Amino acid sequence: MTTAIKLFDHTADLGLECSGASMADLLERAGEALTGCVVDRSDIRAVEERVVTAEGHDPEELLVNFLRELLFLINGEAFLPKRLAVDSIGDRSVSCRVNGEPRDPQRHTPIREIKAVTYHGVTLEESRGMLTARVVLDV
Amino acid sequence: MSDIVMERIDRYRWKIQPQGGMRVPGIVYADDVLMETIRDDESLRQVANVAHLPGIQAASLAMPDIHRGYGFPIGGVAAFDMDEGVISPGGVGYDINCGVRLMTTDLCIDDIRGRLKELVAGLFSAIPSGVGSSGPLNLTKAEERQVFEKGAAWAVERGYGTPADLEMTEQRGVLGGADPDGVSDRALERGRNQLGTLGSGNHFLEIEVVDEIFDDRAARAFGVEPGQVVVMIHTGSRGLGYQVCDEYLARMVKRAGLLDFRLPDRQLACAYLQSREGQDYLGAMACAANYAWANRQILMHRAAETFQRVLERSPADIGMRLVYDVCHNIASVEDLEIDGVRKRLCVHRKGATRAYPPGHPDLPGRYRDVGQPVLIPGDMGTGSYLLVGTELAFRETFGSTCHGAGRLMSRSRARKAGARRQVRTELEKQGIIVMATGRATINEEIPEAYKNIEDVVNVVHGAGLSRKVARMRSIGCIKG
Repeated sequence: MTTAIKLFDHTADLGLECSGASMADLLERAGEALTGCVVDRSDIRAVEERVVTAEGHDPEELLVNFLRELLFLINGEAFLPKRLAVDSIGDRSVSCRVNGEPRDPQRHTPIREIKAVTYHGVTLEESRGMLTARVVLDV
Repeated sequence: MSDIVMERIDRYRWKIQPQGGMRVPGIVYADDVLMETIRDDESLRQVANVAHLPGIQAASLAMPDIHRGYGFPIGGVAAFDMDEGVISPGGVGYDINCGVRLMTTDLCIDDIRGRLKELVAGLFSAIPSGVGSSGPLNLTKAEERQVFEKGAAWAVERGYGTPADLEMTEQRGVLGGADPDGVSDRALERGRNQLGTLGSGNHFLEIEVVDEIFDDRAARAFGVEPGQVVVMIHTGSRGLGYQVCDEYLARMVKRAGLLDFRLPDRQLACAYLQSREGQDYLGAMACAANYAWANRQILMHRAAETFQRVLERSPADIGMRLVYDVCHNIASVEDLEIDGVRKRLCVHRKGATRAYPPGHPDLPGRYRDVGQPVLIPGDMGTGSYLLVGTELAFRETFGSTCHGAGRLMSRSRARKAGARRQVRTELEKQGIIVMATGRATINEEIPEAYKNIEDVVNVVHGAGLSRKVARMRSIGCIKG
């Protein structure tokens, strides 16, 4: 699958830009990118499975709400995602399997704290069969 | 470049005339130098966006440390009518009651000069910091609910500091109307083991020396003198506050379509103050605000203990005394003034500080004649300011002033700039000992990532929104 992830600048915060061939693909990549902002993903092992579900009135809200749920998994439950696999997705809801492991301060060096995934200026565009999203993270 | 048209009012004031759906004008406080960078930022558009919200009073205000936030600009002040106005979680920010407290000591620089490294290391080990840091206080849910209701007093009751500290805390360290039932299990869980921790990002605990006094009378009232060692703490409500903001914002975004007006930005999601959502958020926000006050109260006590242990002196010898504690991310119901008329309003200060004038009944007796102490933390390596509130701020800016230096450079650019240098060594050469959990934190917080604090403070001083009392320079700092 052709995907791309990049970070863009936002004065106080951090912007996340990612692409995917489908909404499911985009959500998986966005989730990995979010994790990569918090810790080095190569240090994470896929030893346990969790399920993340989210809802939204439109694709943008669904994207933000999905990332909010994932961030709660990381910050609230100290579980670090390695791989994401969307099981089912509709216009307004998504269910995703998340493989990863509980955070271990000895092995997982923090890069930075992400306080929140914001709705500020969220965009989702389709061009030549690719979906590209931009989300601003509060650091 | 912003497409917003600005009209200059005077040396420090700029006006954005109402256009489109703006209900009131925008007023930005800045001089020519600061306006250069503000013009390039999206924050002016955000000042205009806030002016669209129902019930907004007089003007959508921006302090000179304004920079682009999400929804509301950081450095923004907006007050709303209690009946027709709204409350917005984004107008408070994720870190509810992020704030600053300043303590004086009876020590002078010579008392600690040889022990500074030890002192910073002692603070670093006594005060948990860094991403998701947890503290030794593992609260039960029942205890956490008490923190929500009592704020700083909860900490004092448990021996962290004295009742006199509450006098020296904005709102006496407790916001009324806290509703613990409005805080979700998730938020409760995140708050359980983070009380008494510093956190990460721009939060810090700093040892500073008073460098210069600008106002003798106010400095005497505040107990500040040249050469004195002081301690500043900058932190907030930790993961609990982020979770409360996040959940209420999502709830309001979901219901945005049901409002009788259009939001210019989703992140400005809000609810009428008199609606169920509005009242629920106010109750939950007060819980997080009170948690933050308890947090800073505990950290102050830990700092005092560390000074005693490392310097092998008694509490009386150290003489650590709270000057004041201010919050700079809050929505607060206050009796304020518009065109000379007193009115109860809900004022949002997002990256802005309350700055009450002399004579205000909410001030402790000791400060009643001079005004409220205002604490403006600088960035690593430049120092901080102690200001005092004014009558003009009460009349013009709902009793508000700036909150800090204001970010200039994005975190990723700062990190890149910092990564090429030995930031810690550079600071040590300037006589500043820094200890941080992550190197990225130090790099992201390099001095040039911020607006010059002198410029910001000179604008609020020049415009009369607060007056300079003292400048402190940093000598030791712990960060997340």
